[in-house]
Amino acid sequence: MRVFYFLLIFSALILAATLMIQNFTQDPTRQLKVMKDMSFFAMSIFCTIFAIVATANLIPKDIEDRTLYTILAKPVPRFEYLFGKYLGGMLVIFVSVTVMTILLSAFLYLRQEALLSDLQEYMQVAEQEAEQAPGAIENEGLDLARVEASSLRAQGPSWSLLAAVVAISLQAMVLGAITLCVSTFASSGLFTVVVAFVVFFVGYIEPVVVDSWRSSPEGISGFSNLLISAVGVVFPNFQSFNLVDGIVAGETLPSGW
Amino acid sequence: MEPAVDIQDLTKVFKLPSLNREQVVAVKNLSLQVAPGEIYGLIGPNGSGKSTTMKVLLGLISATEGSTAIFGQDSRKVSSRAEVGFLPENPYFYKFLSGQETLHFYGRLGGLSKKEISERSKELLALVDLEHARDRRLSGYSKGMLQRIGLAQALIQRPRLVVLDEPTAGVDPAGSRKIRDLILKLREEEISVILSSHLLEQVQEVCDRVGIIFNGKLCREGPMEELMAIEDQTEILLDKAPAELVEKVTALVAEHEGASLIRSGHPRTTLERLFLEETSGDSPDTRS
Repeated sequence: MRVFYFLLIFSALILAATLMIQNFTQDPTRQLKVMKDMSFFAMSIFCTIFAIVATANLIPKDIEDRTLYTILAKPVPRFEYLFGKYLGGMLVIFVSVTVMTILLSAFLYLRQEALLSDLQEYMQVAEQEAEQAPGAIENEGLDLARVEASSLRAQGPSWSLLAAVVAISLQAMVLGAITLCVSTFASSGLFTVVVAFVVFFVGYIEPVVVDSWRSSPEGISGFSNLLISAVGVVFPNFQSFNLVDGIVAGETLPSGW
Repeated sequence: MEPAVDIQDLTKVFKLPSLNREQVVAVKNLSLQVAPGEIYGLIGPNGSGKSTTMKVLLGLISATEGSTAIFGQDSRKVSSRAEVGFLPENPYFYKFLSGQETLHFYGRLGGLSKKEISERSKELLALVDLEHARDRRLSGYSKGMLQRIGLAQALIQRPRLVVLDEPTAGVDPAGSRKIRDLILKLREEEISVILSSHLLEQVQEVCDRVGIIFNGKLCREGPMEELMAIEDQTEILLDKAPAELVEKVTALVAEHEGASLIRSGHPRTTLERLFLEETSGDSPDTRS
Protein backbone atom coordinates (compact mmCIF):
# COMPACT_ATOMS: atom_id res chain seq x y z
CA MET A 1 0.00 0.00 0.00
CA ARG A 2 2.87 2.36 0.93
CA VAL A 3 4.29 1.80 -2.56
CA PHE A 4 1.18 3.31 -4.05
CA TYR A 5 1.44 6.33 -1.75
CA PHE A 6 4.88 6.83 -3.24
CA LEU A 7 3.43 6.61 -6.75
CA LEU A 8 0.98 9.37 -5.80
CA ILE A 9 3.89 11.49 -4.53
CA PHE A 10 5.74 10.75 -7.78
CA SER A 11 2.87 12.00 -9.97
CA ALA A 12 2.47 15.07 -7.74
CA LEU A 13 6.21 15.73 -8.16
CA ILE A 14 6.05 15.57 -11.96
CA LEU A 15 2.99 17.83 -11.98
CA ALA A 16 4.69 20.32 -9.67
CA ALA A 17 7.84 20.19 -11.82
CA THR A 18 5.76 20.85 -14.95
CA LEU A 19 4.05 23.89 -13.44
CA MET A 20 7.01 25.35 -11.56
CA ILE A 21 9.68 24.97 -14.20
CA GLN A 22 7.97 27.58 -16.39
CA ASN A 23 8.86 30.19 -13.78
CA PHE A 24 12.56 29.31 -13.84
CA THR A 25 13.32 28.94 -17.54
CA GLN A 26 11.67 30.11 -20.75
CA ASP A 27 13.61 27.61 -22.86
CA PRO A 28 11.03 24.92 -23.81
CA THR A 29 13.65 22.21 -24.44
CA ARG A 30 15.25 22.86 -21.06
CA GLN A 31 11.81 22.64 -19.40
CA LEU A 32 11.37 19.09 -20.73
CA LYS A 33 14.93 18.13 -19.77
CA VAL A 34 14.48 19.32 -16.17
CA MET A 35 11.17 17.48 -15.99
CA LYS A 36 12.82 14.22 -17.12
CA ASP A 37 15.76 14.77 -14.82
CA MET A 38 13.55 15.23 -11.74
CA SER A 39 11.38 12.23 -12.62
CA PHE A 40 14.35 9.90 -13.15
CA PHE A 41 15.86 11.12 -9.89
CA ALA A 42 12.63 10.27 -8.01
CA MET A 43 12.39 6.91 -9.81
CA SER A 44 15.99 6.05 -9.00
CA ILE A 45 15.63 7.05 -5.31
CA PHE A 46 12.44 4.99 -5.01
CA CYS A 47 13.95 1.88 -6.61
CA THR A 48 17.17 2.08 -4.56
CA ILE A 49 15.40 2.58 -1.21
CA PHE A 50 12.67 0.03 -1.97
CA ALA A 51 15.14 -2.61 -3.21
CA ILE A 52 17.09 -2.32 0.06
CA VAL A 53 14.50 -1.61 2.76
CA ALA A 54 11.74 -3.92 1.52
CA THR A 55 14.04 -6.83 0.68
CA ALA A 56 15.96 -6.57 3.98
CA ASN A 57 12.88 -7.53 5.99
CA LEU A 58 11.43 -10.29 3.81
CA ILE A 59 13.22 -13.22 5.46
CA PRO A 60 13.69 -11.88 9.05
CA LYS A 61 9.92 -11.20 9.19
CA ASP A 62 9.11 -14.78 8.14
CA ILE A 63 11.55 -16.12 10.75
CA GLU A 64 10.13 -13.88 13.48
CA ASP A 65 6.53 -14.91 12.69
CA ARG A 66 7.55 -18.58 12.24
CA THR A 67 5.89 -18.49 8.81
CA LEU A 68 9.22 -19.72 7.45
CA TYR A 69 8.84 -22.98 9.38
CA THR A 70 5.41 -23.72 7.95
CA ILE A 71 6.70 -23.01 4.43
CA LEU A 72 9.93 -25.02 4.65
CA ALA A 73 8.08 -27.89 6.36
CA LYS A 74 6.31 -28.37 2.99
CA PRO A 75 8.25 -30.00 0.13
CA VAL A 76 9.80 -26.66 -0.90
CA PRO A 77 13.55 -26.43 -1.61
CA ARG A 78 15.24 -23.52 0.16
CA PHE A 79 16.48 -22.11 -3.12
CA GLU A 80 12.89 -21.88 -4.40
CA TYR A 81 11.80 -20.09 -1.24
CA LEU A 82 14.61 -17.51 -1.55
CA PHE A 83 14.07 -17.06 -5.27
CA GLY A 84 10.31 -16.66 -4.76
CA LYS A 85 10.86 -13.98 -2.12
CA TYR A 86 13.30 -12.16 -4.43
CA LEU A 87 10.96 -12.32 -7.41
CA GLY A 88 8.09 -11.00 -5.25
CA GLY A 89 10.12 -7.93 -4.26
CA MET A 90 11.25 -7.37 -7.83
CA LEU A 91 7.69 -7.69 -9.12
CA VAL A 92 6.61 -4.78 -6.89
CA ILE A 93 9.52 -2.71 -8.28
CA PHE A 94 8.63 -3.72 -11.84
CA VAL A 95 4.96 -2.74 -11.44
CA SER A 96 5.88 0.56 -9.75
CA VAL A 97 8.48 1.43 -12.40
CA THR A 98 6.00 0.60 -15.16
CA VAL A 99 3.36 2.89 -13.61
CA MET A 100 5.97 5.66 -13.11
CA THR A 101 7.18 5.31 -16.73
CA ILE A 102 3.62 5.55 -18.05
CA LEU A 103 2.98 8.62 -15.86
CA LEU A 104 6.25 10.27 -16.94
CA SER A 105 5.59 9.56 -20.63
CA ALA A 106 2.04 10.91 -20.36
CA PHE A 107 3.11 14.14 -18.58
CA LEU A 108 6.04 14.55 -20.97
CA TYR A 109 3.82 14.08 -24.03
CA LEU A 110 1.20 16.55 -22.78
CA ARG A 111 3.80 19.20 -21.93
CA GLN A 112 5.61 18.64 -25.22
CA GLU A 113 2.35 19.02 -27.15
CA ALA A 114 1.49 22.23 -25.27
CA LEU A 115 4.93 23.72 -25.98
CA LEU A 116 4.82 22.62 -29.64
CA SER A 117 1.38 24.14 -30.05
CA ASP A 118 2.67 27.49 -28.71
CA LEU A 119 5.62 27.27 -31.07
CA GLN A 120 3.35 26.36 -33.98
CA GLU A 121 1.23 29.43 -33.33
CA TYR A 122 4.32 31.61 -33.25
CA MET A 123 5.57 30.08 -36.51
CA GLN A 124 2.25 30.68 -38.28
CA VAL A 125 2.29 34.34 -37.28
CA ALA A 126 5.96 34.63 -38.26
CA GLU A 127 5.31 32.99 -41.67
CA GLN A 128 2.42 35.41 -42.36
CA GLU A 129 4.59 38.37 -41.42
CA ALA A 130 7.44 37.04 -43.57
CA GLU A 131 5.10 36.74 -46.58
CA GLN A 132 3.75 40.27 -46.11
CA ALA A 133 7.17 41.89 -45.49
CA PRO A 134 9.98 39.59 -46.48
CA GLY A 135 13.14 40.38 -44.51
CA ALA A 136 16.14 38.76 -42.92
CA ILE A 137 15.01 39.27 -39.31
CA GLU A 138 11.64 37.44 -39.70
CA ASN A 139 13.25 34.57 -41.65
CA GLU A 140 15.91 34.19 -38.97
CA GLY A 141 13.21 33.98 -36.20
CA LEU A 142 11.34 31.37 -38.24
CA ASP A 143 14.48 29.30 -38.68
CA LEU A 144 15.19 29.43 -34.93
CA ALA A 145 11.62 28.35 -34.19
CA ARG A 146 11.99 25.39 -36.58
CA VAL A 147 15.20 24.32 -34.84
CA GLU A 148 13.48 24.69 -31.44
CA ALA A 149 10.54 22.57 -32.62
CA SER A 150 12.85 19.82 -33.81
CA SER A 151 14.75 19.94 -30.52
CA LEU A 152 11.45 19.76 -28.59
CA ARG A 153 10.36 16.69 -30.56
CA ALA A 154 13.63 14.94 -29.60
CA GLN A 155 12.92 15.52 -25.89
CA GLY A 156 9.51 13.84 -25.87
CA PRO A 157 8.69 10.22 -24.92
CA SER A 158 11.06 7.85 -26.75
CA TRP A 159 12.65 4.41 -26.56
CA SER A 160 15.78 5.93 -25.01
CA LEU A 161 13.65 6.77 -21.93
CA LEU A 162 12.92 3.08 -21.66
CA ALA A 163 16.65 2.31 -21.66
CA ALA A 164 17.11 4.60 -18.63
CA VAL A 165 14.18 2.90 -16.88
CA VAL A 166 15.65 -0.56 -17.61
CA ALA A 167 19.02 0.59 -16.22
CA ILE A 168 17.37 1.86 -13.00
CA SER A 169 15.43 -1.43 -12.67
CA LEU A 170 18.56 -3.55 -13.23
CA GLN A 171 20.40 -1.56 -10.56
CA ALA A 172 17.49 -2.24 -8.17
CA MET A 173 17.61 -5.95 -9.04
CA VAL A 174 21.33 -6.18 -8.22
CA LEU A 175 20.82 -4.23 -4.97
CA GLY A 176 17.83 -6.41 -4.03
CA ALA A 177 19.85 -9.60 -4.59
CA ILE A 178 22.73 -8.30 -2.44
CA THR A 179 20.34 -7.23 0.34
CA LEU A 180 18.52 -10.58 0.33
CA CYS A 181 21.85 -12.40 0.48
CA VAL A 182 23.01 -10.31 3.49
CA SER A 183 19.64 -10.76 5.26
CA THR A 184 20.08 -14.56 5.29
CA PHE A 185 22.92 -14.32 7.80
CA ALA A 186 22.56 -10.83 9.34
CA SER A 187 21.57 -10.59 12.98
CA SER A 188 19.27 -7.59 12.49
CA GLY A 189 17.36 -5.76 9.77
CA LEU A 190 19.26 -2.54 10.50
CA PHE A 191 22.60 -4.29 9.91
CA THR A 192 21.34 -5.59 6.54
CA VAL A 193 20.15 -2.12 5.47
CA VAL A 194 23.43 -0.47 6.51
CA VAL A 195 25.58 -3.10 4.72
CA ALA A 196 23.46 -2.81 1.55
CA PHE A 197 23.74 1.00 1.52
CA VAL A 198 27.52 0.78 2.07
CA VAL A 199 27.83 -1.69 -0.84
CA PHE A 200 25.76 0.67 -3.01
CA PHE A 201 27.77 3.71 -1.99
CA VAL A 202 31.16 2.03 -2.55
CA GLY A 203 30.00 0.49 -5.86
CA TYR A 204 28.74 3.89 -7.01
CA ILE A 205 31.77 6.04 -6.19
CA GLU A 206 34.57 3.47 -6.60
CA PRO A 207 34.78 3.69 -10.45
CA VAL A 208 34.80 7.51 -10.31
CA VAL A 209 37.56 7.58 -7.68
CA VAL A 210 39.63 4.98 -9.53
CA ASP A 211 39.32 6.90 -12.82
CA SER A 212 40.45 10.12 -11.18
CA TRP A 213 43.41 8.35 -9.46
CA ARG A 214 44.51 6.65 -12.64
CA SER A 215 44.36 9.89 -14.62
CA SER A 216 46.42 11.76 -11.99
CA PRO A 217 50.05 12.51 -13.02
CA GLU A 218 51.48 10.63 -9.98
CA GLY A 219 49.72 7.37 -10.93
CA ILE A 220 48.93 4.57 -8.45
CA SER A 221 51.36 2.40 -6.48
CA GLY A 222 51.38 -1.39 -6.91
CA PHE A 223 49.65 -2.05 -3.57
CA SER A 224 46.94 0.55 -4.20
CA ASN A 225 46.34 -0.95 -7.61
CA LEU A 226 45.90 -4.39 -6.00
CA LEU A 227 43.51 -2.94 -3.41
CA ILE A 228 41.45 -1.19 -6.09
CA SER A 229 41.26 -4.40 -8.11
CA ALA A 230 40.07 -6.30 -5.01
CA VAL A 231 37.37 -3.68 -4.31
CA GLY A 232 36.37 -3.88 -7.98
CA VAL A 233 35.92 -7.64 -7.71
CA VAL A 234 33.90 -7.52 -4.45
CA PHE A 235 31.67 -4.52 -5.13
CA PRO A 236 29.49 -4.27 -8.24
CA ASN A 237 30.09 -1.25 -10.46
CA PHE A 238 26.86 0.72 -10.07
CA GLN A 239 28.14 3.43 -12.44
CA SER A 240 27.36 0.95 -15.26
CA PHE A 241 23.66 1.62 -14.59
CA ASN A 242 24.04 5.40 -14.62
CA LEU A 243 22.55 6.19 -18.04
CA VAL A 244 20.11 8.84 -16.91
CA ASP A 245 22.34 11.91 -17.35
CA GLY A 246 23.29 10.95 -20.90
CA ILE A 247 19.75 10.04 -21.92
CA VAL A 248 18.31 13.26 -20.48
CA ALA A 249 20.96 15.16 -22.45
CA GLY A 250 19.75 13.34 -25.58
CA GLU A 251 22.68 10.92 -25.95
CA THR A 252 22.24 7.43 -27.40
CA LEU A 253 23.20 4.25 -25.52
CA PRO A 254 26.94 3.58 -25.33
CA SER A 255 27.95 0.72 -27.61
CA GLY A 256 28.29 -2.62 -25.86
CA TRP A 257 26.14 -1.63 -22.83
CA MET B 1 6.21 -51.98 8.88
CA GLU B 2 8.31 -48.82 8.37
CA PRO B 3 8.10 -46.50 11.42
CA ALA B 4 6.53 -43.09 10.80
CA VAL B 5 9.41 -41.48 12.68
CA ASP B 6 12.81 -42.95 13.39
CA ILE B 7 15.26 -40.81 15.35
CA GLN B 8 18.62 -42.43 16.15
CA ASP B 9 21.20 -40.97 18.55
CA LEU B 10 20.26 -37.40 17.75
CA THR B 11 22.55 -34.72 19.15
CA LYS B 12 22.17 -31.04 18.42
CA VAL B 13 24.69 -28.47 19.58
CA PHE B 14 24.16 -24.74 19.06
CA LYS B 15 27.17 -22.45 18.88
CA LEU B 16 26.45 -19.20 20.62
CA PRO B 17 27.56 -15.96 18.94
CA SER B 18 30.19 -15.12 21.55
CA LEU B 19 33.96 -14.69 21.43
CA ASN B 20 34.73 -17.64 23.74
CA ARG B 21 32.90 -20.06 21.36
CA GLU B 22 30.34 -21.06 23.95
CA GLN B 23 28.11 -24.01 23.01
CA VAL B 24 24.72 -25.24 24.15
CA VAL B 25 23.78 -28.90 23.89
CA ALA B 26 20.07 -28.76 23.11
CA VAL B 27 19.57 -32.50 22.47
CA LYS B 28 21.88 -35.35 23.45
CA ASN B 29 21.82 -38.93 22.10
CA LEU B 30 18.06 -38.97 21.71
CA SER B 31 16.49 -42.02 20.04
CA LEU B 32 12.80 -42.63 19.55
CA GLN B 33 10.40 -44.26 17.12
CA VAL B 34 6.78 -43.52 16.33
CA ALA B 35 4.65 -46.24 14.73
CA PRO B 36 2.21 -45.49 11.88
CA GLY B 37 -1.12 -44.27 13.26
CA GLU B 38 0.33 -43.66 16.73
CA ILE B 39 -0.06 -40.44 18.73
CA TYR B 40 3.21 -39.74 20.50
CA GLY B 41 3.51 -37.07 23.20
CA LEU B 42 6.84 -35.36 23.78
CA ILE B 43 6.74 -33.56 27.11
CA GLY B 44 9.28 -31.65 29.13
CA PRO B 45 9.98 -28.25 30.66
CA ASN B 46 10.83 -25.15 28.59
CA GLY B 47 14.24 -25.41 26.94
CA SER B 48 14.41 -29.19 27.31
CA GLY B 49 14.87 -29.77 23.56
CA LYS B 50 11.37 -30.66 22.34
CA SER B 51 11.12 -28.00 19.62
CA THR B 52 14.73 -28.59 18.53
CA THR B 53 13.99 -32.32 18.09
CA MET B 54 10.94 -31.45 15.99
CA LYS B 55 12.85 -28.94 13.85
CA VAL B 56 15.62 -31.45 13.13
CA LEU B 57 13.01 -34.07 12.27
CA LEU B 58 11.44 -31.63 9.78
CA GLY B 59 14.80 -30.77 8.22
CA LEU B 60 14.47 -27.13 9.35
CA ILE B 61 17.81 -27.34 11.15
CA SER B 62 20.57 -29.88 10.72
CA ALA B 63 21.61 -32.46 13.33
CA THR B 64 25.10 -32.27 14.82
CA GLU B 65 25.12 -36.07 15.13
CA GLY B 66 22.66 -38.88 14.55
CA SER B 67 19.95 -39.47 11.98
CA THR B 68 16.25 -38.75 11.53
CA ALA B 69 13.90 -40.47 9.09
CA ILE B 70 10.25 -40.09 8.13
CA PHE B 71 8.65 -43.27 6.77
CA GLY B 72 12.15 -44.56 6.00
CA GLN B 73 13.24 -41.45 4.09
CA ASP B 74 16.08 -39.29 5.39
CA SER B 75 14.26 -36.22 6.72
CA ARG B 76 16.94 -33.89 5.31
CA LYS B 77 15.55 -34.68 1.85
CA VAL B 78 12.94 -32.21 0.63
CA SER B 79 10.81 -35.09 -0.74
CA SER B 80 10.33 -36.54 2.79
CA ARG B 81 8.27 -33.45 3.67
CA ALA B 82 5.52 -34.43 1.25
CA GLU B 83 4.41 -36.87 3.99
CA VAL B 84 4.50 -34.32 6.84
CA GLY B 85 2.31 -31.54 8.17
CA PHE B 86 3.70 -29.11 10.75
CA LEU B 87 2.10 -26.63 13.11
CA PRO B 88 4.72 -24.57 15.00
CA GLU B 89 4.18 -22.94 18.38
CA ASN B 90 2.20 -19.67 18.09
CA PRO B 91 2.30 -19.43 14.29
CA TYR B 92 1.53 -16.20 12.46
CA PHE B 93 0.55 -16.70 8.87
CA TYR B 94 0.35 -13.96 6.23
CA LYS B 95 -2.26 -11.65 7.77
CA PHE B 96 -3.40 -10.20 4.45
CA LEU B 97 -4.64 -13.64 3.28
CA SER B 98 -8.07 -15.05 4.12
CA GLY B 99 -8.49 -18.54 5.59
CA GLN B 100 -9.34 -19.94 2.16
CA GLU B 101 -6.35 -18.18 0.51
CA THR B 102 -4.01 -19.45 3.23
CA LEU B 103 -5.02 -23.03 2.51
CA HIS B 104 -4.64 -22.37 -1.21
CA PHE B 105 -1.12 -21.01 -0.63
CA TYR B 106 -0.01 -23.99 1.46
CA GLY B 107 -1.75 -26.40 -0.91
CA ARG B 108 0.33 -25.04 -3.79
CA LEU B 109 3.48 -25.44 -1.68
CA GLY B 110 2.39 -29.03 -1.03
CA GLY B 111 2.21 -29.64 -4.77
CA LEU B 112 -1.58 -29.99 -5.07
CA SER B 113 -3.53 -28.97 -8.18
CA LYS B 114 -6.08 -26.14 -8.01
CA LYS B 115 -8.95 -28.63 -8.13
CA GLU B 116 -7.50 -30.74 -5.33
CA ILE B 117 -6.90 -27.64 -3.21
CA SER B 118 -10.44 -26.44 -3.73
CA GLU B 119 -11.91 -29.79 -2.60
CA ARG B 120 -9.44 -30.28 0.23
CA SER B 121 -9.83 -26.75 1.64
CA LYS B 122 -13.62 -27.20 1.78
CA GLU B 123 -13.15 -30.44 3.76
CA LEU B 124 -10.57 -28.92 6.09
CA LEU B 125 -12.48 -25.69 6.77
CA ALA B 126 -15.41 -27.87 7.81
CA LEU B 127 -13.13 -30.10 9.91
CA VAL B 128 -11.62 -27.18 11.84
CA ASP B 129 -14.98 -25.41 12.05
CA LEU B 130 -13.91 -22.28 10.17
CA GLU B 131 -16.35 -22.33 7.25
CA HIS B 132 -17.96 -19.14 8.51
CA ALA B 133 -14.59 -17.32 8.45
CA ARG B 134 -13.22 -18.68 5.16
CA ASP B 135 -13.19 -15.25 3.44
CA ARG B 136 -12.12 -13.26 6.49
CA ARG B 137 -8.51 -12.04 6.61
CA LEU B 138 -6.31 -13.77 9.18
CA SER B 139 -5.66 -10.39 10.85
CA GLY B 140 -9.23 -10.71 12.15
CA TYR B 141 -8.80 -14.26 13.50
CA SER B 142 -8.59 -15.05 17.22
CA LYS B 143 -5.68 -17.08 18.56
CA GLY B 144 -7.78 -20.28 18.66
CA MET B 145 -8.89 -19.71 15.05
CA LEU B 146 -5.26 -19.17 13.99
CA GLN B 147 -4.26 -22.45 15.62
CA ARG B 148 -7.10 -24.24 13.82
CA ILE B 149 -6.26 -22.76 10.41
CA GLY B 150 -2.67 -23.75 11.23
CA LEU B 151 -3.79 -27.30 11.78
CA ALA B 152 -5.75 -27.18 8.51
CA GLN B 153 -2.66 -26.02 6.56
CA ALA B 154 -0.66 -28.82 8.17
CA LEU B 155 -3.20 -31.35 6.84
CA ILE B 156 -3.69 -29.85 3.37
CA GLN B 157 -1.62 -32.38 1.38
CA ARG B 158 -3.00 -35.40 3.32
CA PRO B 159 0.20 -36.08 5.27
CA ARG B 160 0.75 -39.41 7.01
CA LEU B 161 2.59 -37.68 9.86
CA VAL B 162 1.60 -34.48 11.67
CA VAL B 163 4.01 -32.64 13.98
CA LEU B 164 2.30 -30.32 16.47
CA ASP B 165 4.43 -28.03 18.64
CA GLU B 166 2.31 -26.66 21.50
CA PRO B 167 -0.91 -26.68 19.46
CA THR B 168 -2.99 -25.30 22.33
CA ALA B 169 -0.55 -22.59 23.55
CA GLY B 170 -2.48 -19.45 24.42
CA VAL B 171 -5.84 -20.93 23.41
CA ASP B 172 -8.85 -20.80 25.75
CA PRO B 173 -10.24 -24.09 27.15
CA ALA B 174 -13.04 -24.29 24.54
CA GLY B 175 -10.59 -23.80 21.67
CA SER B 176 -8.15 -26.18 23.30
CA ARG B 177 -10.85 -28.84 23.49
CA LYS B 178 -11.66 -28.39 19.80
CA ILE B 179 -8.00 -28.95 18.94
CA ARG B 180 -7.88 -32.02 21.16
CA ASP B 181 -10.95 -33.42 19.35
CA LEU B 182 -9.25 -32.75 16.00
CA ILE B 183 -6.17 -34.71 17.12
CA LEU B 184 -8.41 -37.60 18.10
CA LYS B 185 -9.97 -37.46 14.61
CA LEU B 186 -6.47 -37.80 13.14
CA ARG B 187 -6.08 -41.06 15.04
CA GLU B 188 -9.31 -42.35 13.41
CA GLU B 189 -7.75 -41.59 10.02
CA GLU B 190 -4.58 -43.48 11.07
CA ILE B 191 -2.40 -40.39 10.80
CA SER B 192 0.68 -40.48 13.05
CA VAL B 193 1.06 -37.48 15.36
CA ILE B 194 3.98 -36.13 17.36
CA LEU B 195 2.65 -33.70 19.91
CA SER B 196 4.47 -31.45 22.32
CA SER B 197 2.44 -29.70 25.00
CA HIS B 198 2.62 -28.32 28.52
CA LEU B 199 -1.03 -29.29 29.10
CA LEU B 200 -0.23 -32.68 30.56
CA GLU B 201 -3.88 -33.59 31.11
CA GLN B 202 -4.49 -33.23 27.38
CA VAL B 203 -1.41 -35.23 26.51
CA GLN B 204 -2.69 -37.95 28.83
CA GLU B 205 -6.08 -37.88 27.11
CA VAL B 206 -4.91 -38.14 23.50
CA CYS B 207 -1.51 -39.86 23.40
CA ASP B 208 -0.80 -43.56 22.96
CA ARG B 209 2.83 -43.22 24.02
CA VAL B 210 4.78 -40.52 25.81
CA GLY B 211 8.44 -39.54 26.05
CA ILE B 212 9.68 -37.27 28.84
CA ILE B 213 12.60 -35.11 27.76
CA PHE B 214 14.76 -33.15 30.20
CA ASN B 215 18.00 -31.27 29.50
CA GLY B 216 18.06 -32.71 26.00
CA LYS B 217 17.85 -36.33 27.11
CA LEU B 218 14.93 -38.72 26.83
CA CYS B 219 14.51 -39.70 30.50
CA ARG B 220 11.51 -41.97 30.24
CA GLU B 221 9.34 -43.39 27.48
CA GLY B 222 6.52 -45.87 27.11
CA PRO B 223 2.82 -46.54 26.47
CA MET B 224 0.54 -44.19 28.37
CA GLU B 225 -1.26 -46.97 30.29
CA GLU B 226 2.04 -48.50 31.37
CA LEU B 227 3.55 -45.22 32.54
CA MET B 228 0.44 -44.07 34.39
CA ALA B 229 -0.43 -47.27 36.22
CA ILE B 230 0.61 -47.57 39.91
CA GLU B 231 1.25 -51.29 39.98
CA ASP B 232 0.70 -51.93 43.71
CA GLN B 233 -2.57 -49.99 44.01
CA THR B 234 -6.14 -50.79 42.82
CA GLU B 235 -8.93 -48.30 42.16
CA ILE B 236 -12.66 -49.17 42.54
CA LEU B 237 -15.10 -46.46 41.46
CA LEU B 238 -18.66 -47.03 42.70
CA ASP B 239 -21.78 -45.47 41.24
CA LYS B 240 -24.77 -44.68 43.51
CA ALA B 241 -23.28 -46.71 46.39
CA PRO B 242 -25.10 -46.18 49.75
CA ALA B 243 -23.02 -45.28 52.84
CA GLU B 244 -23.51 -48.77 54.32
CA LEU B 245 -21.97 -50.43 51.30
CA VAL B 246 -18.94 -48.13 51.47
CA GLU B 247 -18.60 -48.99 55.19
CA LYS B 248 -18.74 -52.71 54.38
CA VAL B 249 -16.06 -52.39 51.70
CA THR B 250 -13.87 -50.37 54.09
CA ALA B 251 -14.28 -53.03 56.83
CA LEU B 252 -13.51 -55.82 54.37
CA VAL B 253 -10.30 -54.11 53.32
CA ALA B 254 -9.31 -53.58 56.98
CA GLU B 255 -9.77 -57.31 57.65
CA HIS B 256 -7.26 -58.22 54.95
CA GLU B 257 -3.68 -58.33 56.24
CA GLY B 258 -1.25 -56.12 54.30
CA ALA B 259 -3.98 -54.20 52.43
CA SER B 260 -5.04 -50.68 53.39
CA LEU B 261 -7.54 -48.11 52.18
CA ILE B 262 -5.69 -45.00 51.07
CA ARG B 263 -8.61 -42.72 50.23
CA SER B 264 -12.39 -42.79 49.76
CA GLY B 265 -14.81 -40.00 48.96
CA HIS B 266 -16.41 -38.31 45.96
CA PRO B 267 -14.27 -38.06 42.82
CA ARG B 268 -13.74 -34.51 41.61
CA THR B 269 -14.32 -33.05 38.20
CA THR B 270 -11.59 -30.95 36.60
CA LEU B 271 -11.55 -27.16 36.37
CA GLU B 272 -11.45 -27.52 32.57
CA ARG B 273 -14.64 -29.58 32.50
CA LEU B 274 -16.35 -27.18 34.92
CA PHE B 275 -15.33 -24.24 32.71
CA LEU B 276 -16.61 -25.95 29.58
CA GLU B 277 -19.93 -26.88 31.22
CA GLU B 278 -20.53 -23.27 32.23
CA THR B 279 -19.35 -21.56 29.04
CA SER B 280 -20.26 -23.84 26.14
CA GLY B 281 -23.63 -25.16 27.21
CA ASP B 282 -22.31 -28.69 26.63
CA SER B 283 -22.25 -31.11 29.50
CA PRO B 284 -19.23 -33.30 28.82
CA ASP B 285 -19.14 -36.64 30.52
CA THR B 286 -17.63 -35.97 33.93
CA ARG B 287 -17.17 -39.65 34.61
CA SER B 288 -14.81 -40.47 31.77
